[in-house]
Amino acid sequence: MIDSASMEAEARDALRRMRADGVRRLAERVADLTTAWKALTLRPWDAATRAGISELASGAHRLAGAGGTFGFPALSAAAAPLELVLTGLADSAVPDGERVNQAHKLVAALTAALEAGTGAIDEPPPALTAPGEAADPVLVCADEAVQPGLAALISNLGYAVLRGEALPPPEQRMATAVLDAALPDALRIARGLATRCPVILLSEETGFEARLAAARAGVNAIVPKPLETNELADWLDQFAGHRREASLSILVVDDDVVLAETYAMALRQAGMEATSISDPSRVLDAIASVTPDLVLMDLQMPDIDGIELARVIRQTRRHMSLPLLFLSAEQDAARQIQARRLGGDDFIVKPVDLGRLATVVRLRAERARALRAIMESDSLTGLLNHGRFKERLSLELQRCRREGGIVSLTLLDLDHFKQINDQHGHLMGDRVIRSLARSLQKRLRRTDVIGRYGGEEFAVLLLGTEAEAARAAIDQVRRRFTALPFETDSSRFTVSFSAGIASNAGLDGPREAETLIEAADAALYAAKRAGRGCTRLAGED
Amino acid sequence: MSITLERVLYVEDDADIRTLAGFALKAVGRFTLEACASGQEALNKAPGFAPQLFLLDVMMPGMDGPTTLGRLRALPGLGAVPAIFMTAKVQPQEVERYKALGGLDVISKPFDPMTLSASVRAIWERRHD
Repeated sequence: MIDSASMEAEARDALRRMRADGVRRLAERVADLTTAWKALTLRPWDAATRAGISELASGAHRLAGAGGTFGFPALSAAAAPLELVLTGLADSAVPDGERVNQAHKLVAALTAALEAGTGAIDEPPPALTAPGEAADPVLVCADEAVQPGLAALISNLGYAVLRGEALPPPEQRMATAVLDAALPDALRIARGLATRCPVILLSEETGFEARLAAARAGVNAIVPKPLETNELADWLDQFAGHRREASLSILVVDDDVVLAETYAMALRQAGMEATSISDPSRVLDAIASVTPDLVLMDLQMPDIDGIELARVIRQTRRHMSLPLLFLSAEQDAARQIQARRLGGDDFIVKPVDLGRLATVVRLRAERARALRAIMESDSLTGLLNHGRFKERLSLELQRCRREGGIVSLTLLDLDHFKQINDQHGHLMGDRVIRSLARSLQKRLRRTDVIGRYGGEEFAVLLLGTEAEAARAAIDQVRRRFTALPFETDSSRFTVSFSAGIASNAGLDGPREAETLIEAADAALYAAKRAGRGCTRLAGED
Repeated sequence: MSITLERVLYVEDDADIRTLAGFALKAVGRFTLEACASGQEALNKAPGFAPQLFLLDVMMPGMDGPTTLGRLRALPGLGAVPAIFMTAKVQPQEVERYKALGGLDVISKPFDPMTLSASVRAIWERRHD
């Protein structure tokens, strides 16, 4: 048998050398591309020049791939749009000033990205979590005898758990660590962990001295004992990054196909979802299908200009708060004011600096989304409130009618909630409600729509899901939630909920939403009558 | 029972990536590898190599990954060879699209050379499910 550990170390070494070679070659390739680009810009615009530019586009494409592989994502971020711009340029019969400018900037950005570097060629590139691959686990460092049920509790909150009472091996990846201060040498363990992931310390001592000592050991958060589940859950959410937020969605409108796609690509490289259209008359359809957080549009377009387009968008009430960002070569202040009056939120001057574009768009879109979340959400749980939920329900049903599709509506209600309030007080009642909200958010897909429908009643719309599959999803939430213990100083209890589900299969007509709600409500009532703590489908006895 | 994967035909247009991934597949994964720089080269070499699996970069100049796959599968004896695509920044709906184009699954770039082979094997094992 060959020693597999030493073989792996050898392979690792060889790979490291290869990666270093790759990085050196990246520098050469960027230099070659830059030189070739400069030479081409000095030539007359003829077939040979255009062929040369097309060749450069291929080079940019390969650089985009290689940049990522060898640990220079910023290089890819410049090379990918450069490929597009060069391809567009190679297709132009006359030299196109704006594209030449773009290409200049992007070529310069390649060198800048290389110089900014990563300095970390020993590290594997940031591995994107492959589809279906599990997220990194939460390390739980605690003595089960001292802190019973801690691992189970964290697992119930929806995290993969890794148990240990000492430092795990260096190659073990962790999203965050939860460390019991009662362990001998807890702070020394904290010091070892802190360089690798955020550390949450569970401690009975929460005075300033204790906090300072913990801070010096690299601890990021202290949760006092006895343990408050919600507080721990909030920290885990923050560190272990179950980011529920879907990525920002941006709609780009520019009559120039290549520019539209170049902007979209720059936004995608910055982690946003971008859709580009070059026909302004399709803007309303596009808004309906991609529900953007922001629309980026060219102010000067030949058939319909940006101001007219803004006017059209603002005619719909729902689009009143949709941020509109103009791209403009225009220095004309009067026209800019006119555009602002019609609801343009900002101007970006052409030729566009793609790096700045992504930053401005992200800031605007994030802020708009945050404001919208506050306006539309229930203050206790952060879920959609009753009104907003019904609005989304109608929208989704419309979409189903238009495109064909199935959704299932679940109404769920906490069992014996009044007794919880009576026995443990309203604060505990609120805690139970927040926990259920959290369980739903964690266990369901982020495309599913979750609302707080009333006091202890929740509504969930599962998109693209038949009633039976919805039941499986909801029952999974139920099993976890019902196992989640709530603790007070004197007692420990669990809570169940009942659920009713109805799908839109076979539904039609103008009162579709009302009918669906009534059907789900009747099923919920049937579940309550059947003894609570269960799920019933509409039409099922 | 599942047959062990040994012979992989890999197509990637970038020489540096090809070297790195090629080494990772051979040294770490212990695969018998034929690495090609283009779809055309793959079409020339595939019949003599008798691959069990195609590993294809999606975006290549000239003939892209899906086109290459279609033409490889048209060759005698290669019609049923499974394929994995490699591409940057895969969104879930794109994965579905590549699966519809005949891929078992998609491996996203940049890849980690130490775990690339394991990913390939995991996808290979899953195909019998």
